[in-house]
Amino acid sequence: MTEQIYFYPVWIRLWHAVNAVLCILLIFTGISMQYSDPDFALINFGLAVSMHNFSGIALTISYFLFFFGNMFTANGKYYRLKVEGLSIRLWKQMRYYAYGYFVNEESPFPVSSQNKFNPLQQISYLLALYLALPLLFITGWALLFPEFIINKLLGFSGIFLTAQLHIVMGFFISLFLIIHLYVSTMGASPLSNFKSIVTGWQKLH
Amino acid sequence: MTHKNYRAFSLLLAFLILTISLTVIAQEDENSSTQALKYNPEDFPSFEDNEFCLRCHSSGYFVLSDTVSGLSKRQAMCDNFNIPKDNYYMSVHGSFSCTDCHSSEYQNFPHATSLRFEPAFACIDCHGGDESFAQYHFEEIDAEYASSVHAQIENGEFNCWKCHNPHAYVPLARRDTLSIDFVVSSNQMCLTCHGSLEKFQLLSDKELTGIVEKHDWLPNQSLHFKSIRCIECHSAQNLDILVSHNILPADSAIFDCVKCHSKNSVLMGSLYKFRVIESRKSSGFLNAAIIDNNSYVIGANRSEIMNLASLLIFGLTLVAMTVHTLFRVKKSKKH
Repeated sequence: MTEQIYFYPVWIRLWHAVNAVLCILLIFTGISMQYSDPDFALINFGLAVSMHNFSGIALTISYFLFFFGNMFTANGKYYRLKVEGLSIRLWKQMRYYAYGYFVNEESPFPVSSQNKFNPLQQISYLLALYLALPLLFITGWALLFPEFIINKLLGFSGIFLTAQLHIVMGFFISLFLIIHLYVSTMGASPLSNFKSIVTGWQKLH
Repeated sequence: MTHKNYRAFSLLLAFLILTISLTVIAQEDENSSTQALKYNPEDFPSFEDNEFCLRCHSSGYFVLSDTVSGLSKRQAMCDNFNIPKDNYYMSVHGSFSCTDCHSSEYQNFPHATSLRFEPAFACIDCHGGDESFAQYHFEEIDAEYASSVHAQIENGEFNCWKCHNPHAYVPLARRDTLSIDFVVSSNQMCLTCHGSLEKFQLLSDKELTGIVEKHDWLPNQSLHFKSIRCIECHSAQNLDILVSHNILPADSAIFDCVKCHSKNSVLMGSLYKFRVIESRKSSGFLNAAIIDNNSYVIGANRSEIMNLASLLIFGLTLVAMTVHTLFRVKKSKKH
């Protein structure tokens, strides 16, 4: 029988579900606004604006649940990056995804109770959750209250630069989502990781 | 610190505060008393002649005298007839003498009532049919106005001067300064009547509707009011002239966000038209006219470079995932 480990406590699963729904809403409404067209509307513009604003505010609140959860529970340890030897570990993991996985090599960083993420996952989650998302929140809230944005920075309009940073970070988050979904299919079976984030139990393979 | 020292320190501090306060007050007085003129009277040959009119018409009051009793008293000058000198001499018409446009009979005081019925010049009367003004397309502007909702006003009281103050007019739309001030000054033209029952009822018997309530549907209403002009939505665009003068009836106004918030934003043909024309002369990337300005229009601020870069990154990611999937399928078939 495959060994299972209780990986995702209820609060993480709830946060993940809320996060997933809000991120998808934000990406769809964001793309709809950025590429709005009088002849074709993915979502009605006014509705997209309201949904984007509402989802952005809700995501900020949900982020604090994650942030403080990581600060006060054991889950935070998975996000502590060990810099020493990082490039070697990243290379090992990339090599495994690109080659070792297909020739049935052992995973260089097998999932365990002490090792929830492999180095590539860890660094991408860190960048997404502790860099891209905070930048999205700061720029998003600034765009909700543009009167607080400085007028000019390096000769460019402050509001334009804020919006561009928001869009670029939004783009990286959507890219992260696609890669995250794909990598999730590489568990014990293509659907096992999706089941894990619902039940909390992770199969070890 | 001893008690004595403490008292000496307190006195010194009080003295310093008092000195600084008095200096600030003195400087403020100095600033207000020696406020520099924004114009040089010597540049205006009619300056002396105009003083005869402007001593009343720029002072906020006039002196009314009764020739029978010999009594005189100060009366407030109505705002409509008050012409701040700074505004006049900085305006495009500042070089004119008052009597170039107004009857010389105005030199008699009190002015005769019949002068109130003196027909006022319209822009086209001076600027029409003149080659030196051809670039401003006054004839098209006149034709646009004739088909606008303003020209349909029942009592025929509407004219150019209801929106454009001839004594203060500066062609802001042709200047490359799309600041908030430009939008404010444009919207102020509309609000002069549409935001004041007093002015509105001089021209129309219709009910004056509240601007804020009427635009309840607009998200971030105050931001829109600050950033764009009323005419962006309330006039029909004409590519031949810089500022559309064909003001539409309220029910024909743009009511669709995407008209502005899209790649071919109508703002490019209205608010940003001058910048678009100017940017055509130099190379620039798409919608640079908006980007240069201190604003951001969701959906209209697109960069072709960023679009291409994002498509490339997305494309490469999808290709990598597809290739990886194919190898995974091949591997699973082996087992």
